[in-house]
Amino acid sequence: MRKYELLFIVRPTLSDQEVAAFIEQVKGHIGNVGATITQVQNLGRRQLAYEIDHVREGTYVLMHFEGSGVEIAELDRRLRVSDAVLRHIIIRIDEELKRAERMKRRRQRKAARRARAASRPTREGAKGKGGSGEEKS
Amino acid sequence: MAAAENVSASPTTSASPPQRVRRRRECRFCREKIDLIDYKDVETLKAFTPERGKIMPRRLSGVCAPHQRMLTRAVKRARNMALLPYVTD
Repeated sequence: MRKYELLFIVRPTLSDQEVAAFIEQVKGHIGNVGATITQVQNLGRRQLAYEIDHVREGTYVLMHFEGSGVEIAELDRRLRVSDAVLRHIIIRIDEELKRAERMKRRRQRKAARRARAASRPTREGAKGKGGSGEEKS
Repeated sequence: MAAAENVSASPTTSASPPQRVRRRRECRFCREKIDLIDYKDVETLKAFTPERGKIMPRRLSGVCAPHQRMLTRAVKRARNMALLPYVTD
């Protein structure tokens, strides 16, 4: 399963109830195309950095969902034809999260190696650059 | 001209091997242990897009190459979603 993040901007002319209803509608879309929603968050009304369609603000809505990837095209198309949406973006986040996790692990390994080197100053303490030599996991 | 908007002075790291004279500060994202630069984090992105809204070059910000790549991508996504401006006049 791939993880995706969807962020879209809803037109400011919609009332709070209409926005809520629209969110439900999008959730329905995501469910219909066979993905599972993991998180929905209304980020609230925000000033846009530039004018889109002659409006300067919009309501940002963030969703996280998991799917196989084939449903993205259809979801994207529905969002694009929807009049309520000013902008939307769908990003695959599982690979980014994995990379972040890798970086975190590498950092922890390095820290552990440094700690080990520091605890035995007589043997390895003299040459401080020993740590960067082997990069294998 | 884009002013070199420098981040706050680095805290001295204690548990590290023999300190050599270090002229270059570590990349801000490395120091703060940020593994993922989020395009929704407008405040962070703004720090790297001074006045004109252009992305600050590495040679001015001191950001390392992997983080600069992440940053660039995040800024571009943020621009697309009207979180950051494309142009500032």
